[in-house]
Amino acid sequence: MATTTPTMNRPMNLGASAADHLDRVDALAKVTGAAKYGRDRYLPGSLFAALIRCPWGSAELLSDNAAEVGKLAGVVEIKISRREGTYHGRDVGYVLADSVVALKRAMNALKLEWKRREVKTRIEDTVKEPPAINEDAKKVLDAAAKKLSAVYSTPVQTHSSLETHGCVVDHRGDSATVYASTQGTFAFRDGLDEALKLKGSDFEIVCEYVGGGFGSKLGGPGKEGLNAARISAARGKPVYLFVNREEEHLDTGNRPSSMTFAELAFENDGTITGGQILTFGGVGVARGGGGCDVPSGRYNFGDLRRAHTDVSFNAGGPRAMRAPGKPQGAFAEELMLDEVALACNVDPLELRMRLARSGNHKEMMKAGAKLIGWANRIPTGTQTGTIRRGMGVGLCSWGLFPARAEGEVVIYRDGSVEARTGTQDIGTGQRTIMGVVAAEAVGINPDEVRCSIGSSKLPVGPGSGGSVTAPNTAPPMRAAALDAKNKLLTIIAKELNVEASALEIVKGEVLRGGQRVMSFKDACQRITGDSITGRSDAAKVDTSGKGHSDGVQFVELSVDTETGVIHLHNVVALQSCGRVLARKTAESQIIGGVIQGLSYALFEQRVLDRVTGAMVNANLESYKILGPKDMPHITPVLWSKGQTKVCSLGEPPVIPTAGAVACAVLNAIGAPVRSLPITPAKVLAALAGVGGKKNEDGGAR
Amino acid sequence: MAEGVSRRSFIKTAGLSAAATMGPGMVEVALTVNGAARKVKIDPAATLLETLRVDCNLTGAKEVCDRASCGACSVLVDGKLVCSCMMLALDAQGCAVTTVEGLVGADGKPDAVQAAFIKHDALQCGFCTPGFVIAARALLNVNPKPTLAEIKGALAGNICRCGAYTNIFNAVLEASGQAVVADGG
Amino acid sequence: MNSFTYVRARNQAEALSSLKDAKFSLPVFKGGGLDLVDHMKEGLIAPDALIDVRGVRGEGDLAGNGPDAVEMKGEVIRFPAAMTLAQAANSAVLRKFAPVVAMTAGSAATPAVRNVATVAGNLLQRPRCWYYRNSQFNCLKKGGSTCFAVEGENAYHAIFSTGSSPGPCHIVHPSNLAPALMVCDAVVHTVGNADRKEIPIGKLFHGPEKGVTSEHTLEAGELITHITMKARPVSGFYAIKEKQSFDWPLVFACVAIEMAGERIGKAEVVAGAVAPVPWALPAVAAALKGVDPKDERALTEACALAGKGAKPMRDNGYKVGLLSVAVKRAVMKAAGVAIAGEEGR
Ligand SMILES: Cc1cc2nc3c(=O)[nH]c(=O)nc-3n(C[C@H](O)[C@H](O)[C@H](O)COP(=O)(O)OP(=O)(O)OC[C@H]3O[C@@H](n4cnc5c(N)ncnc54)[C@H](O)[C@@H]3O)c2cc1C
Ligand code: SF4
Ligand code: FES
Ligand code: FES
Repeated sequence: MATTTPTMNRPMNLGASAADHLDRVDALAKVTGAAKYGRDRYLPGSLFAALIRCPWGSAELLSDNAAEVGKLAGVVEIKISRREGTYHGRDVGYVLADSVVALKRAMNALKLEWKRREVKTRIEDTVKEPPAINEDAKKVLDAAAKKLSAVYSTPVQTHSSLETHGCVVDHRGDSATVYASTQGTFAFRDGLDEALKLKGSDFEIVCEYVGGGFGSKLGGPGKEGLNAARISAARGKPVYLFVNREEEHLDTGNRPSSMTFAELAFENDGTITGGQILTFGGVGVARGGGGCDVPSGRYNFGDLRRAHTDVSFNAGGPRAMRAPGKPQGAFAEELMLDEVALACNVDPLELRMRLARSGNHKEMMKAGAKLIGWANRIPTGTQTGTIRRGMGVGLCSWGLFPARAEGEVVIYRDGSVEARTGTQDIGTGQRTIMGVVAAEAVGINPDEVRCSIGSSKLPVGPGSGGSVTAPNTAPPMRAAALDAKNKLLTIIAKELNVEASALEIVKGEVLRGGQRVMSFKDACQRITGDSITGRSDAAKVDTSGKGHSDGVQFVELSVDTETGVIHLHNVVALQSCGRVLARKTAESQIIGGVIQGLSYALFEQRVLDRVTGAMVNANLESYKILGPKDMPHITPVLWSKGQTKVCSLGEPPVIPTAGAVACAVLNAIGAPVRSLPITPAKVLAALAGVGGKKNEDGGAR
Repeated sequence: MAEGVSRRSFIKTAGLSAAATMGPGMVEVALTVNGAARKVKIDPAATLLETLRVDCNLTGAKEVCDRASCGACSVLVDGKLVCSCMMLALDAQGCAVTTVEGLVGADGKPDAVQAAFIKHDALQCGFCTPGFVIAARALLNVNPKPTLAEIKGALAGNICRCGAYTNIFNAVLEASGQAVVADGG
Repeated sequence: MNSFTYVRARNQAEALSSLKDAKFSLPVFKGGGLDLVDHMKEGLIAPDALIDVRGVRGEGDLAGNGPDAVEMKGEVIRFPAAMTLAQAANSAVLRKFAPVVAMTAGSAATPAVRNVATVAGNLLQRPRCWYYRNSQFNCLKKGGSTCFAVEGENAYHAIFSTGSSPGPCHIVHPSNLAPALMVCDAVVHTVGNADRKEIPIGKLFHGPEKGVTSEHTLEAGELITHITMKARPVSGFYAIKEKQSFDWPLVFACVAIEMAGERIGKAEVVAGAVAPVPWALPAVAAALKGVDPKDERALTEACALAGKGAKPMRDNGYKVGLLSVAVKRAVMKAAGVAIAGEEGR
């Protein structure tokens, strides 16, 4: 049950939410190790399975020693069902064993002889030349006072959820329980009936705790779930199938790479008159899903030609990742703006104030500038010391999308209250905010509500993607809680011989005309039977007023110009997020988004060997994720001015960060680094290009 | 200990050398985990992490990278922070192993680090959390009042994909009775 | 991991005889086991006996006794082979008399790894080249016929070669400790080979031209017992890393100096992460003579020689310039000169 412990370290956010000091309700279980994730379910008699994968970008399987390995102690079955793969990580079969040690031993003993084929590994393998400039765009460019011609690129970022994909399937003949690591309890259920040979109502998906997902665990059971389900159904034993870290990088989706070719025309004051922006998305073996959202619509770009093309090559395909398409685009867009500002000698914040379309953004920019100390920003190109400081800014926006959701609130005779939704908590705080919503509607403290979530036997709810969970589950949960309360008050009203509408519940007391009638607990004792259940009746989500989740981020950093190493100092992240339900978890969402953005800006990239197409850094050592020592101070600001609705919060904070970092680097060193991650080598190359050498990726004229 | 010594002198006098060998194949191992003696039957190739999770049902320590590069499997072995994914269970024989479950007091109350993690919301999905809690505990055991830089250094082998670092630092400051880092100050 | 026998050696004799035991076809000594387990998990090696040598006591005690495993007798510092990197980093003796070793040990890997990794294991660990570490690449080092790094992804590979021409293998030597021990003129003491017992650390490693499938000159059955070295009270280390929370350095440098008044009287400079072996830079050491370490311009000039003779690959040219910076900063660290941007970090 939730606790409340006041923290005062972020005074500006106090008072913003319904529950300022409420602790995450499942924090105790998580800090003590009591929380059971899918990966933690070792059922008696389990079999352990692993998928066999193609080790090359493209290859044909010539021979194998499966028959031999199948005889090793503990090996139950080896199945090879495909003899070819067109990306590293393509599954071609599985190994089944009766223990973890035996499984790993068999995987090592399995010798497959592959014949490699030629591969493509990058967008550049297909897009070899800068694309032609459209005739109309040419006219705008020809008439321009100034022009920018530049290429921006971003690498593939993998979700790298710490809990890998997979599940434990316990098939018992006529029923089954599936312990899954998923962002979509119901999508997982709906995809599994055939493999289990059971109806959806005959089995239960359990995902009480999920070790991250960031979009990669949205799309149903996937090959992990399907294989585990089929094997468990066939053998009548529990099957444990979780992929390892390498496979997680290779074949569970990613944020696709991008290239943006920008030809911008602008006035001497920085007003952009138009031009052409062509984007390419690197989608691996997928056909689409490589969107790169630039221009974002947040700024006025004048008369712009715009086209996007997805490019395929030999690599695992993308999946939605926290604000799909947005950070790639924002990186290019924000850096472009700073390059325009530099060419015109105007302050980049001032330029944004002119080009930004939303008044909300402008207000946030003003407030954020004060917090970061923008007045102390040193003009670009004026520093000469070894260590040079830089500041950058970026914007984001996010809509509000509808999704089907239901909720239930049960009030028990003993005075306890349970909020029920089948949706999952992947770390967003869903379990916590459901309690807040229910408690508030009933009229009791949030720490008096117990939340049951993460089961397909509970009321239906959406997947945790598109930042839809909170905005869409809050209204039905509220409706269910109100329904439960009304049912309770009706009982009391009957006893008191008054109208139910004359009664209310405030802070755990039943009141009539402001006077205390009895405690909530006493009221509950009058429930005949065990409990009463409040339901949401297809509550409609109000989706009007999209784009409420605006945000602005400021980054302050310094660049060591001898080593090219960047040190992050401060980030101020203002995020409008509608009505805040629980302050602590909301702040955490913003901080987390920023950190993923910083990590994307400086470190992360999938490295594919260009000759064989194999990913060479499919681990957490050379696939680099920002760690404690790389951390700046981060100030999350909950911006809830005039907003009463619950808005999206999960995704928007990851959007502007990398762009703001790139702008800060430009400010510090006077030259843009147009490709992520911004490594020391790239910083040094950019520095070498300042004053003389031409930048390979283009520049302003 | 006395037994070991006498045996060694026996070997010396006998002019022979027969080291203690275990395996191949399943062996019985005595471990001390969270203060309790346990006997488990394992393959010598089993890591301490697998043994804790599968054989001892202590699933707090997580497997994330499986290669000592994320800290999620952190446990204390004789009070020292180690990655249990890269340590053979046989290497932990005769040592005191402490997992995140073992930090909880006999009264069921979380220890100071755990309580501070709750208070500062130093977690999101929670998958990295046991590792961070253990690493923080290891730090405070030897350095009861660490600076922010020392905290970052001590946690440098742990990765949190959800990005809870800011609050983790504050939780460790809090657990060590120090002022947390505040905004606007 | 493959199936194996686990052996706990309690003294040298047990360790050595277990290794020669005829019932084992591929027995290996085990320190902390980090690099061995890594190899076994990836299926790169399959030893059938792991002989844990950390418990070796008596003569040639591998772990050392007392609060500080490091001893100093006169000018000679001595420590046991199974001392952990954490012990090295925290050793009062090393911090005072050979700070370069303490600093290097304390900056390697992660706190949890340093608690387990032994000095001997660190010196003998295999390279981190990602083609080597991924089992599907049967590269030269694994007995294959190609070095995948040449055409492939070589941003982190070597810029110097030990032979007359680059290659055939382009690894950088992984040990952070080795260059630090080199500037302290360390000697590696072994048992198990009647012909030799003391190996100057510079002779412990060899380049790929002298055999591409190994990096060191020890034979199977040679057990490192301890290391002796000279005190280098004015010494320092500087690593340049992409990520500050544990990362393999892009380049790093270890420096020991003797001051003659305000100026450097004598210097020793060894770099890491630039060549298949720890890379001595005698020309830079010579140029540093007579330089005032507080005179950054003179220092920069002397260190500019560091990259001379480098033959970078397609993607690692940036290392050449970085090397000079690393050497310069290592000198500044040794001499106690403040480095820009480091205050408060
Ligand atoms: C995430 C991560 C980051 C790392 N970062 C760094 C870094 O930045 N810098 C760095 O230098 N290292 C780094 N390392 C490597 C680490 O330091 C080594 O793996 C470790 O030092 C190996 O020591 P060990 O005792 O575990 O060796 P083991 O795995 O036990 O042994 C390694 C080798 O040495 C042999 N051996 C061990 N002891 C003896 C002996 N006494 N006599 C003869 N042979 C012996 C073994 O047979 C084996 O061949 C990192 C490792 C990891 C996992
Ligand atoms: S550099 Fe050496 S280890 Fe790496 S691929 Fe080439 S031969 Fe193999
Ligand atoms: S799982 Fe052991 S360190 Fe990552
Ligand atoms: S809380 Fe999810 S990884 Fe740290």
